[in-house]
Amino acid sequence: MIVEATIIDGPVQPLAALDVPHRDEVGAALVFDGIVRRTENGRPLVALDYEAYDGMAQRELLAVAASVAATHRVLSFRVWHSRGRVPVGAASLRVEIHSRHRKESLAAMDQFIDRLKRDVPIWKRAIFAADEPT
Amino acid sequence: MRVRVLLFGPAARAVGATSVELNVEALPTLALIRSRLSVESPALEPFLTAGRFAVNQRYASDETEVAARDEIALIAMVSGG
Repeated sequence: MIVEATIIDGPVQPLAALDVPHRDEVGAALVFDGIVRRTENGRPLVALDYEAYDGMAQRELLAVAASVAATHRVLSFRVWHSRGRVPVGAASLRVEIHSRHRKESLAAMDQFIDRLKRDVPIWKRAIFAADEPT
Repeated sequence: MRVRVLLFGPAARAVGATSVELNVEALPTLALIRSRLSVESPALEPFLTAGRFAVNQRYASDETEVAARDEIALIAMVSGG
């Protein structure tokens, strides 16, 4: 496990561009990337393949995002989810949340991912190294 | 009337098809479709137990009656994220 803590002079490099209409109110910017791991149940993975119920997946993803954003009164909420093949090490999900204070972003992120995994009609299928043609 | 239920992910792989069809009386409820599928497609049983139906791409309760033109889908064991 890597743990690092560094005191630096001046500002920290911005995680994401804050060229947004609400930038004067933003006190917290939170980004989450869901990354395809190298193994699943101990077996080496090559990729995950995502299937979406087109139309409904888009609508449900937006509905969950909107619901969570409203509940936690964040300033902005953006989510991207992959369809198709995503190789190991790449991200299949990105969530970007801006809020006035950290608590809203942290709570919204946690709730959103739980609801995504429960309600959005997207399915992933593991593609293992042993199954790929050599 | 004939109804077609769309399948995705592991449910589709379980039956080797992206949809199944049933002959039912007019305006069946989703509860009826659920019970009929468990008999006529036993491989779907694990997905029917915990799954939800969507009608015209919106989640619907088992009391919902469906018409011939409705798009019906079994949404089970989603794994996004």
